[in-house]
Amino acid sequence: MSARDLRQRFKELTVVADIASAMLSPLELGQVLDVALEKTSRAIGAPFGSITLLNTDKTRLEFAAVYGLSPDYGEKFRELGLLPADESSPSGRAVSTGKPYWVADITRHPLCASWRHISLGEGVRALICVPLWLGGAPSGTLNQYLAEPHRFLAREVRLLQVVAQQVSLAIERARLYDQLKQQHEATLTASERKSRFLATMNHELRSPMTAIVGFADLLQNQIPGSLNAGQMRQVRMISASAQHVMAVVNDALDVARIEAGKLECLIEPLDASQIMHEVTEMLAPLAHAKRLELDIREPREPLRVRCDRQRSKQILVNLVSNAIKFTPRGRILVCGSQDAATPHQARISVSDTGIGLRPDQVPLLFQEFQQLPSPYQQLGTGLGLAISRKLARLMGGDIEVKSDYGHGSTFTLMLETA
Amino acid sequence: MSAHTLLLVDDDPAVHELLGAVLHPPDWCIDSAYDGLEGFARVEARPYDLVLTDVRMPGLDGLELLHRIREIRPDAKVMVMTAESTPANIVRAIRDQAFCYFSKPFSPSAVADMITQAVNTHHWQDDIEVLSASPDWISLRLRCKMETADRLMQFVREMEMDFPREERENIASAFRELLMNAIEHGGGSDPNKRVQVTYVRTTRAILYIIQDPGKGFSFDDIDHAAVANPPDEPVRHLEIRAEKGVRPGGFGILLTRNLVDELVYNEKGNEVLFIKYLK
Repeated sequence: MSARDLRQRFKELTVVADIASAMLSPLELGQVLDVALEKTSRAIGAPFGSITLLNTDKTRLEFAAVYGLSPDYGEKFRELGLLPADESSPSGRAVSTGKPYWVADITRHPLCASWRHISLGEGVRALICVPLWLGGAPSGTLNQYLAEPHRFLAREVRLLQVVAQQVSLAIERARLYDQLKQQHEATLTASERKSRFLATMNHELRSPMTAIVGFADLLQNQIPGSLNAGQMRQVRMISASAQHVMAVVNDALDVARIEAGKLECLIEPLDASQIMHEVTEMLAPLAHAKRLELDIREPREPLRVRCDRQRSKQILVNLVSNAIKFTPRGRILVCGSQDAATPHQARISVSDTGIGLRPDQVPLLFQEFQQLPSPYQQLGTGLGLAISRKLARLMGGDIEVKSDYGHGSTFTLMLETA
Repeated sequence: MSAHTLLLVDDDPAVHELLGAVLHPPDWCIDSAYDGLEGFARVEARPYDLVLTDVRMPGLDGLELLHRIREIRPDAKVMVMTAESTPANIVRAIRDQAFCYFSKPFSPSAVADMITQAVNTHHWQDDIEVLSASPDWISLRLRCKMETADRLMQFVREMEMDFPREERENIASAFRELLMNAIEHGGGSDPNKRVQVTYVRTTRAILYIIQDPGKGFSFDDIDHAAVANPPDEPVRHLEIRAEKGVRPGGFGILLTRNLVDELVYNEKGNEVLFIKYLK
C-alpha cells in the first residue's frame, strides 16, 4: 500500500470516527438525522444530502432529513406520489437490493425522469443512495448529491457504506430512546390519573362522612337529648365504623403517596436498640392495659443499622401494635440480632404469644385491603402491613413472617447493617 | 348580650343541621345559604360576626365567595371548611385572609368551640400579613401572639401534601417548635413585633425559613433547652427551666433535628432554616 493510499485510508477512518462520535450526543431522532447528514456531507464534500426512511407500512420512502436543499424538497416528491419502495428510483433500488446505487448524471438516467426537474432545480447532478439497515433489514437510505456529474469510485462507495452503518446504529438508538420516552410519559399520565382519582375518591368519601361522623358525635354527646344504654352502644358502633372508614381512606392515600415515591429516605447509621427502646416505651401503656408483658432482648453486640429513623420506627410501631392487638395473654418480645451467616443483615423481630396465623394466611398479609377472616378482620384497616413492607423495601430491607397457628407469630424487620 | 350572627354556606343540608344543633339561640343566630351566590347576597345585605363556608358548591365556590367577600367587607371573619385540602386551596384561603381552615368530616362540638373562639378573637385582621402566596413560595409576617401561631398551624396541618401523614405530621411539628421559639424567645410574645416565615417547595425539597426580630442566641447560652444537655444528663434542662420558671418543654431544637433533614441557624441565631428532602 502506497503512502498516498495510507493517507487516504487514514483520512477515511477519521471521517468515520468523527461522524460516529458526533452522533453520540443527540438522542432525539430528528437531531440524530440532522447531525448525521451534515457531518457526512461535509466530510464527503457533497453540497447536498438527504435521508429517507420507509414509512410504517413499508410501501414508500419518505424524506426524514435534508441538508443543503430547500426544506420542502421532500414535500415536492410527496406531491408527485414518490418515492414508492420499489426499484423505480435510485433510493428505492438501494432499499430493495440492500446495495448502494449511484447515478453519475441525473439528466441522462431513466430512473430520474419523473422527478429530475425538482433536483435539477436545486442544482443536483450526481447522486448516490446507500441503504440504512434498521432491525436487520434495509429500511431507508443515506443520500449524497453532487453539483457536477460524477462517477463514484469504489472507495467512496465503501466509505459511505461504513458511514451508513454508523448512522443506522444512531437511528436505532434514537428510536429506542423515543420508545422509552413514550412509555415513560404513558406511565406518568397513568400515575397522574391515579392521583386525580385518589383526590376525587378522598373528596367523595369525606363529604358524606361529615353527616355520619357529625350526627354520631352529636348523639354521643347527647346534645339532641339523653340516650339509653342500648342507644348509646349503637351510636358508639356508628362512630367506630365511621372512624374505621376514615382510617382506611387515609391509609389508602398513604399507600398511594409511598408508591408515588415522593419522599426520600434519609438513610443513616443508627443504633438498633435505641429504636427498639423508643418504640417499646411508646407502646408499653397499650400492652400493660391488656396485661401483656412487653420486653426487649438486646443484641449481643451493639447493632448498627442503616435506615431512616422515622420510617423504621413507624414499621416497628405497626408490628408491635399488631402483636398487642392479636395477643390475648402472654408476652411480646422485641429482639435485635445479627446472623453470622448474613453479616450484612440486621434483624429486629417482634414475637408474640398470640393467636397466630395459618400458613395459607401468611402470603395474604402484605396485600393491600387483604381481609383475613375473623377474628382479625375488625381490627385495623388491612393496610398497615402493606405500608410497613413498602417502607421497609424503600430502605433496602424487608419484613418476613413466621407463625405457629394458635401459639403466636414473629414478624422480623430486616435492615442492612451499618 | 345580643346573639352572635353566623352565616353558614354549604350545599349539604346535613352540615346546617349539625351546626344548628350545637350553636343555637339565644347565643347564636344562624342564617343559612346553600350555594355561594346566595351566600354572597346575604353578606352584601348585612355584616355577620362570622361566615363559615364550604368550598365545593354549585355556582360560586367557597374560595371565590371568600375573595368576593374580601372586596366588599375587608374585615369580615370567614372560616373555610372542605373535604379537599389541596395546597392550592389553602394558599387561596390564606391569601384572602380566611380566619381558619378545617377539613370534613369534623366533630360538631369541636367546631362549635373553634367558632366560639373565633368570634371572641378581636384585632386579628393584620395578624397574618401575606408577602407571597404562590403555592410553591409562601411568605408571611406574623404578629408575635400565640393565637396567631395557632391559627397558622391550622392551615399548615390541613395542607394535604403529597406524602404520607406521618411525614406531614413531622414537618408540622418541626415547624411549630421553631415558630414557638421565634415568637416566645425572638419576639418576646410582643404583639407589636413580627416574625417572618417562608415556605418554599421545589421538586427536590421542602424548605422553611423562620426569621425573628430577636437578638439571637448562642447554643452556649441556652441551658434551658434539651439540645444543650450533656449526654449523661438528658433532661438537665428541665431542672433549669423549673428554676427559671419557664414552661416545661424545651425539646424544640432537639426534636426538630430528628424530624427534618437539615437544620441551620444564621450567625446571630435569629434566623433558622430547615429542609426536608424529596425524591
